[in-house]
Amino acid sequence: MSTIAIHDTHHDHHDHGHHKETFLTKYIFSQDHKMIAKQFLITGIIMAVIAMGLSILFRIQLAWPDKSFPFLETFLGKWAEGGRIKPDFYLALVTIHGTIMVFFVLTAGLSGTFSNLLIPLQLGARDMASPFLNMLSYWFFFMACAIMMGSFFVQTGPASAGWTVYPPLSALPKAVTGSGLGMTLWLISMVLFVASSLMGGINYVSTVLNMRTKGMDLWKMPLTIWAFFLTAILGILSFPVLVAGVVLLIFDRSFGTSFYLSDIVFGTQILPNEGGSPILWQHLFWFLGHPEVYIVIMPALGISSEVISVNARKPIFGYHAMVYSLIGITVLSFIVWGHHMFVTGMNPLLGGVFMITTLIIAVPSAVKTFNYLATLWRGNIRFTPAMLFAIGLVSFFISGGLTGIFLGNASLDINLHDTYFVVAHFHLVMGSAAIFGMLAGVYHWYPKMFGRMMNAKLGYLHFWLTFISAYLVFFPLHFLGLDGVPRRYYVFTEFEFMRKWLTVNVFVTWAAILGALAQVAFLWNFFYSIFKGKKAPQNPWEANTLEWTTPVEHLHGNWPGEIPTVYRWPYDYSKPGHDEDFIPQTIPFSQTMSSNLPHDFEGNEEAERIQREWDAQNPPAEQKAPLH
Amino acid sequence: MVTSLPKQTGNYDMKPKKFIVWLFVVSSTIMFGGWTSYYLVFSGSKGKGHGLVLPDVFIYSTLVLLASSVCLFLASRARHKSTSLQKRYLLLTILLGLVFAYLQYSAWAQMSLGGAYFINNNAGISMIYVFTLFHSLHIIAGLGLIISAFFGAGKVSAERNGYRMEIASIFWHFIDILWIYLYVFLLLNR
Amino acid sequence: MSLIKVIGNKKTVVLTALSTAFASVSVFAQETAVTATTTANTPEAKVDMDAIYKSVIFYSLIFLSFCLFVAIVGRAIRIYELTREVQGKPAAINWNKVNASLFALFLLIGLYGVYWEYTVHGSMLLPDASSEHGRKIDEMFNLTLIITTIVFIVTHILLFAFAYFYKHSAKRRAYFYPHNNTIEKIWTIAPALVLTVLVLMGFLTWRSIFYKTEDPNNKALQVEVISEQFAWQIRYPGSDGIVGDRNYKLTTGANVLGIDFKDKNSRDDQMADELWLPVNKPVKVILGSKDVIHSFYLPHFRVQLNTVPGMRTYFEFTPTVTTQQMKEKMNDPAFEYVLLCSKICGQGHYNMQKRVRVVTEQEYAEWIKQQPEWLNDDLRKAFNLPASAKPVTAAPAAAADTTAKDSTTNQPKAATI
Repeated sequence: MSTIAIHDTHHDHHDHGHHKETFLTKYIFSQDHKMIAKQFLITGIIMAVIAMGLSILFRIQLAWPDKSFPFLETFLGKWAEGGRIKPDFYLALVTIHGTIMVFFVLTAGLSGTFSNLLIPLQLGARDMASPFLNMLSYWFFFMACAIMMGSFFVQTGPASAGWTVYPPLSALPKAVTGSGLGMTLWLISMVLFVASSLMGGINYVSTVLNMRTKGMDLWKMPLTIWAFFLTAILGILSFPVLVAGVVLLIFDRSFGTSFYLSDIVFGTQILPNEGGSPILWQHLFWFLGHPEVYIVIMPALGISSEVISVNARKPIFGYHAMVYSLIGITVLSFIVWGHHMFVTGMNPLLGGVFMITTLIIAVPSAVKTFNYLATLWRGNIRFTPAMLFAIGLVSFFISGGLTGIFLGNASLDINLHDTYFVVAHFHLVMGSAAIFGMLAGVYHWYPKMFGRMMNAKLGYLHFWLTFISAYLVFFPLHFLGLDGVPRRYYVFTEFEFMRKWLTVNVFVTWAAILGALAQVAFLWNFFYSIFKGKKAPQNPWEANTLEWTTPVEHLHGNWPGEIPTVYRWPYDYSKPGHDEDFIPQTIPFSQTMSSNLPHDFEGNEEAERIQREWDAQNPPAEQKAPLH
Repeated sequence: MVTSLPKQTGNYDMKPKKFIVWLFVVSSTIMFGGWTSYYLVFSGSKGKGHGLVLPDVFIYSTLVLLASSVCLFLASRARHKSTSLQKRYLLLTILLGLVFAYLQYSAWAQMSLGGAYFINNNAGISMIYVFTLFHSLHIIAGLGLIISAFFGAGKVSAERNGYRMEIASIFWHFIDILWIYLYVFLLLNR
Repeated sequence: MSLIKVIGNKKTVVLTALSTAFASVSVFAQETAVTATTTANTPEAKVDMDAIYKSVIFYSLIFLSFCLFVAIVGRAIRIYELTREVQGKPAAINWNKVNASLFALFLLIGLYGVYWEYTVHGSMLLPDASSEHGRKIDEMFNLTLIITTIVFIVTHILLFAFAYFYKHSAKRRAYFYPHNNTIEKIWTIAPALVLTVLVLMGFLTWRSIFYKTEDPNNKALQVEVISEQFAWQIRYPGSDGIVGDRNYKLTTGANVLGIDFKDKNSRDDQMADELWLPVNKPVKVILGSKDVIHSFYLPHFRVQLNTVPGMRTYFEFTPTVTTQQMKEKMNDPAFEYVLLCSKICGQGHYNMQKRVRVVTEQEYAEWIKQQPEWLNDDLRKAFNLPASAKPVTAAPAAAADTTAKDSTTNQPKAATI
C-alpha cells in the first residue's frame, strides 16, 4: 500500500509540469526522454540522407570520371565547374560522408535514439537520471550537425583530410584547401559532438545503475540495455581521449604549437614547427577510434538480439554468453587500436601484440553470431520488417567480420591497408550492419515512439532492395582492394592496372543509386505513418519487455500508476506449459505455475517447494521439456 | 524491501545525479590521462621532457589548493551545526580557489618571462600550459558548483543543501588530487 | 472512398519522390551530358542545358512513375486483402512464406553470385607476389581465405535455411531452448583454436618480414624514397653503398631534399627518375616525407609503409621477378610495376606514381652508372666543398644564408628555448 502512495505522489508532481507544457517545452526543449529520442532519430535520419547523397555524388565521379554532369554544377557551384567534381571537393565529400555516418548517424542517431527511448522504458524508470543533461546532449548534437553542414558554405570548402583527419594534412591549410576554415569547423563540431556523447553516455550509465525498477536486477535486463550500457561505458572511457587529441590539434592549427608537427617543408618553404610527431595523433585518435567502431555496432547487436528473440518466438540462445561476449568486446576494444597503424612504421613488436589482441576479439563476435543462429533454429519466425533487418544484420556481421580477420592480421594488412578491401570490410560490418540494426530498431519500436504502425509491405520492399543493393555495392569492392587499388582515389584512369575496374565502378554506382532510391520507401513510410499510420495496439509484437506495458499515448513519467515490478528475465517465449507463447516480465511465477522450471527460482528454496507441491497436485503436461 | 523504499524515493532525483558527477570525474581523468600518455610517449621518443625547473609558484598554488580543499571539508562538516559557519568556510574556499587561479596565471607569466613560451618547439613545455589551462577550466567549473552551494546554503532544504555540498566536494577534491597528480607528474618527467 | 485515398496517396508519393530523387536525377544526366562537355566553355552551352534538363525531368518521371506503380500495387494488394477479409476467407498472401522463400532464393542466387565473384573478379587480381616475403603473405592470405570462405558459406546457409524452414506457422510452437553450455563452450573454443593458428602464423610471417638477419654475402641495397605532394624523390647511395644524412632545414631550391653534404656518405648519392631494383637482391628502402604523410605502396611486391615527416621508416624486401619476366608471364608487353601512394595526402593523391623496374644485376649496374649525382656545382659552392674540377670560389656561408632567408621571410619567428 505504502509503495503505491509514494509513487502516486511522485507522479502527481510530474503531472503538474505536464499541464504547463508549451510547444517550446514539449517539442523543442523537451526534457522527456521519449521526445529526445525522437529528436535524435529524426536528426539522425536527416543526416543519413545527406551523407547518403554525398556518397552518391562521389560514386558518380568514380563511375564516370570523364563525363560531365551539368547538374552537379547547378547544385555544387564552383566545386563542380563544368559539371565535374574537383579533386579537392571529392576528398571533402568522402571526409564528410565518413564523419557524418560514423559520428552523427551511427553514434548519435543509433545510440542516442534507442538508449534514450529504451533505457527508461525497459528498465522501468520515469525518465533519465538527469533529464536536463539529456536535453543538453541533444542540443549539443544538433549544434555539431549544424556546424558540420555549415562548413559546406565556407569559401575553402569542408574538411578534406579523411574522417580520421591525420595531421599534418589536416593541420596545414597549405596541404589541402579543406584544412582551412573547414577543418576548424570540423574540430569545433567534433568537440561539441563529444560533449553531447559524454553527457548522453554518463546519463545512460547512471540511469542503468541507479534507476532500475523493483526486481530488475542486472541479469534480468534485456540485451538491448546491456548493449547500450556497455556502449555508454565505452564512450565515457574513450571519447575524452579524442577531446585530448582534438585540443592539441586545435593548438597546432591555430596557435602554432608543435604537438603533431615536425620537419615539414613545402617546396622550399620550411615550417618552424619542430619536435612533434604525427603518429601520436594516430594513437590518440584510434584509442577512441577503435572503441568507436564498437560504440557503433554494439547497440545494433543489442537491438537485433531483442528483435530476433521476439520474432523467432524463442528465448535468445545463451543469454549469459551474449552478455559476456559484449563485455569481452568492450574490454578488448581498448587494446586493439594499433591495428589501424600496422604500416605507420610503428615498432613491429607492438604490431605483433596488437595483432594478437585484434584476432582475440573475433572470438566473442563469433559466439554472438552462433548464438543468433541457434536462436533462429527451430523458431517460429515472424518476418516483420524489423526481423528482416535483424537477419540482414547477422548476414552483414558475418560477411564483414570475416574480412576483418584478414585486416587484423598484420602481415596481410601490409598489402590491404588503405585499399578498397578496407572500405568494403567496414562498410559491411560497421556501416551496413549498424544501419540495419538501426532500421530494425526503428521498425520495431516505431509503435512505441509514435503510437502508430508502419506499413509492413513497404518495409519488405525497403528491406529487400536495401539488402540486395548493399551486397551489390560492397561485395565487388573487396576485389578492387585485393588488386591493390587504394581508397580515396579521385579517378582510376591514371593507372593502367586500375582501368579494368572502371566497369565495376559503374556497376557499383548503379547499385548504390538503387540502394539510395530504396530509402525513399522508408522515408515515405516513416513520415507518412507518423500522421496517417494505423493506430498501434499496446503490445503489437507480443513482446515481454517492460516498454510494452506502458500506454500507447505518451505521458511524462511513462506509467500512469505505479511502476511495474519485474519477476523474470525478458526472454520467456514459447515456454512449454504456458498457454500463450510469451510471458511478460511483469507476470509473477505464481501466475504461471504450469510453465515454471526449476532454475527459474534461482535457488529460492521456498519457491521451489511451492512449485514441487503444485507439480505433485497437477500431473505434468506432456510437452514439458525436461532438458534444463 | 518495503523499509528501504521511502529512502529510495527521497533520493529519487539526487542519487543518480551524484553518480553523474562521479562519471564526469572518470571521463575527465581519462582526458588528462590522454595528455599525460601523450607526454610520456613524446618524452620517451625524444629522450627528454620539458627540461624546465618549474616555477616555485606552483608550490604555493598547490598549498593554496590544498587549503581550499580543507576549507570545503570544514564547510561540509559545519553545515549540520550552523549555516553561517558553512557559508564562511565556503566563501573562504571560493577565495582560495580564485587565488589558486591567479597563481597559475602568474606561473604562466613567469614561465613566459623565462622564455618557455606556449608556442614552442618542445611540445613538453606546451603541454605544461595545456595541463594548467584545462585544469583551470575545471577550477572555474568547480567554483561554479561551490557558488551554487554557497547561495543554496540556508535557502534550500537541508537534504538538497547536503547534496549540493556533496557534489561540490566530490568535484573540488577531484580537482585537488588531479592537480597534485599533474604537478608530481611534471616534476618526475622532466 | 478508397479511390480518393489512392489519389491522395499518389500525390504525396510524387512530392516526396521529387524532394528525394535528386541523387538519381543527377546520374541520369550522364547520357546526354556528353554533348555538354564539347561546348562546355562556350555560351551556346546554355542551349544544350535545356535538352539536358528535359532529359533529367524525363528520367525523374520514370522514377516517379515507378513510385506510382508501387503505390498502385500496394493499394491493389490492400484492397484484395480487405475483400478476402470481408468475405471471411483466410489471408490471401502469407507474407511470412513470401519472405522466407525470398531468403531461400537470396541464398541460392547469392551463392552463385559469390562463386561468380570469386571466379570472374577473383581472376582480375594482382599476380603472385614478386618478392620473397610476398609469397609468405600470399600463402597466409590463401589459408585465411579458405577458412573464412568455408565459415562464410556454412553460416549463411544455416542463417537463410533456418529463416526458410522455421517460418511462422500458427500450428507450431518454437522450441524453448535458452542455453546449452556444452555447445556454447564448443563454439567458443573452436574459433579460438582456429584463430590461434592464424595468429601464430601471422605473427611468424610478420616477424620474418620485419626482423631480418643480415646476410653478409648479400647485403641489402639501400635506397631512399622521399615523398612530397605529389611526387616521389629517389636517392641511390652511390659507390659507398650508404645513403647520407638529410636535414630538412637545409632544403633549398637547389637542394630539394635537404641533403646534408657535410656528411661524406651523401656526396656520392645519386638521383633517379625510376626505381630500379636488381633482382634477387635484398633492398632496404629508407622512407621519409617532406610535407604530409604519404604511403609507399608497391602492391606487386606486397610492400607498404607510411612515409612520415620527421621520421625515418624502413622496409626491407627482395624482389624475385624481373619486369621482363613479368611481361612474359602476364602476356602483357605493357606491364610495369608501379609505386603508388595509398595514404590520403591532398588533391593529387590519386596520381602519385612512379615506375618501378626490376632488372638483372648486370642491367642495374649499367643503369646506375648513368644516374647523375645529387651534388652539383652549385651545391658544392653552397656547402663549401671542393669542386670536382674547379677550385673553390663561393662565399662559405651561402648555404646557411639561403635557408635562413627561407625560414625567416615566410614564417613567423619560432620561439626557442
